[in-house]
Amino acid sequence: MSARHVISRPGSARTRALPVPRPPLLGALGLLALTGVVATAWLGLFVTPPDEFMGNLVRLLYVHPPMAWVAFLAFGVASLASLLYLWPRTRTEYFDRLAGASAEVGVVFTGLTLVSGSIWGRPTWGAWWVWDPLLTTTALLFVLYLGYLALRRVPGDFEVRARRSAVGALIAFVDVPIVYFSVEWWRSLHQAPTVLNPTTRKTYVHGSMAWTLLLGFVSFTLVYAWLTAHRYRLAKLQDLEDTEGLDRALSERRAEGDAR
Amino acid sequence: MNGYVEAGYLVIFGSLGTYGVALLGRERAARRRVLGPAGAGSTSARASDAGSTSARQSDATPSDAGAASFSDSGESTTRVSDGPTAKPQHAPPATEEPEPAPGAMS
Repeated sequence: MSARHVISRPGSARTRALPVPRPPLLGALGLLALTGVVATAWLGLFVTPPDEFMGNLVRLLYVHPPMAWVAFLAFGVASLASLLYLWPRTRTEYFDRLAGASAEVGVVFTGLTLVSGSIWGRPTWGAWWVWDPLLTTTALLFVLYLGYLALRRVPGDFEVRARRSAVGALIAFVDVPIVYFSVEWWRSLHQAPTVLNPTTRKTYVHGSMAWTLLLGFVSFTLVYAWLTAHRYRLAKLQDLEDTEGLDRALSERRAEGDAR
Repeated sequence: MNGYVEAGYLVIFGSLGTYGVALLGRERAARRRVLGPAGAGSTSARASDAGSTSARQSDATPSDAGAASFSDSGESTTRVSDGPTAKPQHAPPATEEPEPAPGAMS
């Protein structure tokens, strides 16, 4: 049989399932994530006490650090997937798509980290934005991964595009540890890590505040997993659509040739 | 409380909610384009034929290759896997394609 194949016209009786099966637990994951973030919001806004020094502004603690954590996690997953794509023995489109999906979700969470931090900074520091090392390197991280997403959209052969995107993701990830340690390396307006301080090895959050913060970390991690799974599925559908469009065009050209 | 806290929560939950809903909408629209209107709510709807080159052969994932099929509406469906080692189940015989006329691809 020829290596080429014919794609059926619309209306064909042939059927097959779309090769993007829905993972059986994706719906449950979404529900769990939604429940978690609603519970975090309720505990953070109405149950936990105000802070002795920051007052009610401390309630932003339950959402701002989890945003930053998820952004780091997303970029970490994107980098790992990119590394696995570059490794010849593990090179599959799965890792390329996973890197793209995770990076896009990471960009969303980085943007929210910057915005929520800015909202927190205005009443605390008296300014929406300061060129603090942590804020600046985080903004740089945001721009770097925007560039990565743009790089993925540059037309070209799939293999070439995927490879250069993977290299781009690894280069961009260099900024992640710089962001994390910037408060240690340079003088910063931003406070040092509160939950687990790497220098003092102490935690500065206790009781219901600590539990709510922990719930925030877990819930937004679940949100990340749910969003990434759906973004991956979308990428796969888009690839399928592109390939089917090419198939259809080739098939039509062959039919034209047959008719002559 | 003060307006900053509410604004922070509103921005975060509003943005994530909007992004999530937009993602689901795009996924649904993409599925409709690939499968046609009947496929918007279910992955078991008609798609291209089994012999299509649609999915890249290197596209197998641990969860894809040879896995059971789950439609979005929850029902089990017969599935032709994309995995390179998986063989079509209940797939119709592939169509023998006539050789193209000379110059057909030009």
